[in-house]
Amino acid sequence: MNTDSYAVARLMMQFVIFNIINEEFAIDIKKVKEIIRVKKSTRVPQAPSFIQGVINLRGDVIPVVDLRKRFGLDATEITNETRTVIVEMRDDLLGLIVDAVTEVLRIDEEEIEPPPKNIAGLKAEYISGVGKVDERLLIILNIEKLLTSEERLKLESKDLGKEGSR
Amino acid sequence: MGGQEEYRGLFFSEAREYLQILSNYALQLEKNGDKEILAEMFRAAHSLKGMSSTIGFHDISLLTHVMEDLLEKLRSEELTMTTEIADLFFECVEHLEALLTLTELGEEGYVDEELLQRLSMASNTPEEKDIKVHTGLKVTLKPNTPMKSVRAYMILSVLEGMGDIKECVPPIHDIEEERFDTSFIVYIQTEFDIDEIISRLIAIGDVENVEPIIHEEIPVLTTNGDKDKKESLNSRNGTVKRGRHVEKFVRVEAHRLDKMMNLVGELVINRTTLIQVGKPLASRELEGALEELGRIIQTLQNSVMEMRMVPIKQVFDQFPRMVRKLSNEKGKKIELVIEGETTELDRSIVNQISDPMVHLIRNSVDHGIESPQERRNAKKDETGLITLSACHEGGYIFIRISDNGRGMNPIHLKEVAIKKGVITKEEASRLTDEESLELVFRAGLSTAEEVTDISGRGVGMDVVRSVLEALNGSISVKTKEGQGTTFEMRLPLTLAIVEGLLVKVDDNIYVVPIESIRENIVMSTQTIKRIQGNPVILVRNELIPILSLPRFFGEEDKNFTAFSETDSEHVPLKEISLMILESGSKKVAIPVDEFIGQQEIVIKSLGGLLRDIPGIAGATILGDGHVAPILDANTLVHWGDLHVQEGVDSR
Repeated sequence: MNTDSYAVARLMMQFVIFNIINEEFAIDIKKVKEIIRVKKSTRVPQAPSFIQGVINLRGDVIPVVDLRKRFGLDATEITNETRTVIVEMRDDLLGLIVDAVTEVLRIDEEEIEPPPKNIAGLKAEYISGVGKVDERLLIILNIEKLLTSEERLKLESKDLGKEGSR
Repeated sequence: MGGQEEYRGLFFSEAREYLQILSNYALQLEKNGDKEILAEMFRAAHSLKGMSSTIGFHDISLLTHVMEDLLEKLRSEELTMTTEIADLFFECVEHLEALLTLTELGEEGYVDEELLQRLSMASNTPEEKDIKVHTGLKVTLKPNTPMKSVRAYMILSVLEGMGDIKECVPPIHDIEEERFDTSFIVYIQTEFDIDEIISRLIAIGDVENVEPIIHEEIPVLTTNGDKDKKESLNSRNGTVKRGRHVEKFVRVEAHRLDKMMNLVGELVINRTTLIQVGKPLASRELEGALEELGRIIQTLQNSVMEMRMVPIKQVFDQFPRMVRKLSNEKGKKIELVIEGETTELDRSIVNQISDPMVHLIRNSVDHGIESPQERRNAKKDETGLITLSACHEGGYIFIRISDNGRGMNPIHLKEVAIKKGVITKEEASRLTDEESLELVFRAGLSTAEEVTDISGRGVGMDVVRSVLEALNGSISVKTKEGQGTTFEMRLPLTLAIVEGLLVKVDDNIYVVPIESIRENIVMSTQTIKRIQGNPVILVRNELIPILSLPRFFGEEDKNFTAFSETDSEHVPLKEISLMILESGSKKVAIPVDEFIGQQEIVIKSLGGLLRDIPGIAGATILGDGHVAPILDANTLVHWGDLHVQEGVDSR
């Protein structure tokens, strides 16, 4: 990551921040194409279970992943806040359904730490790093790994219990 | 860098066209040494030479240069056409092709020195007359001539047809861009009589007069200096030739057209959405505007589709040479007749049918047409006939390859298939003659006793069939022993848009290409039979396996469970709709809840994550903006076939 010299300026990276349960996640803004409201999707038979279906994005057919399902939770309940984050992965577009998109943040590269062995139940390989902004911990996701691996995941959020009993 | 890359691409595609011209005319040349043909060939060689030296492919330029010389001598009748020269030409064309391919791959190709030598030997005549006079012509247009550049262009074209334009004052591109007053000077190297040239030029409208200026040398330009002179000399090859194309044609990268097609598809969908949104308003004006919009979109769609169409000539053109070469190698006499080469089809299809056709024609030459001796014995004309034809028929393109050769014998085919282990004796005994012929499309079957250099390599007939099916097309064969064989390929007009049937199964909408549907029938559950527990129906004495779509996709299908119970007593009596899909000679019947309707669909890929789902060929966007998966008939039929086959075999 530190290919550029520090002499230029302190490297600031921009991230799109979104929530799942009350955990905060981040994706490099360069990978994000746009953020749209949730569209009705068409189920594709025999697709991986976390792929909710395919949607029509201005004439392109793109798969949509329910991140909650990918994290081993129940499917996302669509609210006014629910969004689909369209990201680019290996020349393909795909959508990620998230609880809410909160903001775009600049994070000083020095504030990004390598992923710990396990955070919120997610193994290090699914995470590119953890960004620290004030008191917040932002989990920077490795989308490609997340979506090409077959492994079952289980998100463990401190708020999960609360969520479940609601 | 990008510009250079693009120019390279352009070079190769144009170079191939010129090569094609050379090869086509070389064939005709052998038959009659027409002057016009020579002139065309000369022009092609000349352009190729110019282009390749500009881009720095010197070996190509070297070879074309020598070819050009030879052609020039033929044209000026210093040499007469012989079979040797024709053969030499074919060799050159082939060599050029190889050079081009190598160069395109970024590899270094060298021109064969020996070939060059033979070429220059052939063009060496005893009385080499080398002195050619550059004739200068001062062409004056009538004052107030409208569109001077067009006139100038016509004049230059005529002159070019009569000789080699050496120099223009002002430079050629200035003339073309109307940067001259009423007159300009052209220096031309020509065999024609000067009066002949003048009379031809005068015949062009608005030419006031043409005066000859005799010069031994190209004059040094005083006004524009050397730089311009050089430029105009260089642009001689390029601009004049290019200028002719630019007026009529524009080269566009294929993917840009694809993008346009996509956008048109989007427009169609958006209009449907607008109609739905506008309905509650019940506005006459809005309805009218939407109708007009619909018409415009339709016209737009047709134009874009037309743009993607190219004549099948592009593919056919390679065959005369191929057949000539193959028949020589095999010691056969074959005449190739081509019909309907102007038939147009989508460029993406054109690109893909070339290989299958090569294979079919090779087969005809190799196995179809008999040796002259054999034909004489059979009281047939010594020269065999292969007919290649293309035509539009009811939304499809048919390409037929027929020969009047020995034809195929279904019984013989069966024997070979059994010998090669493609089918068992029992299976063979069940096959009708028609079904036996279908065996040629099975993998591992070649009717020739020996594998020859010609047909024994490249794609097999099974590959030919799968290529066609991947294109939503089909292939069939008809034959009569002793009289010949005809292969018929049926292809859709375009790949991007196909006719599809929308069906509902279990609340999901699927689209099936019409091409894959044999028929839709309604049957009582009572008529369902079982083989080893697998449900089948009997349609016109043909056993067709029934395949539940949800089951195929690994989901539960309650309906199906009910009527596929082994105990037929428990099958509820009701009518079910079945859609019968076909691929090759195999069929499968799929229960469908509802037939929604037929419409044109735009085929889209599902992208990387969902690429390889069996049974799904892609997706399309429906009028309401929703996505529907497209079923892959091939896979479904194959699955059904496996299951019923198991049942039959273990019975």
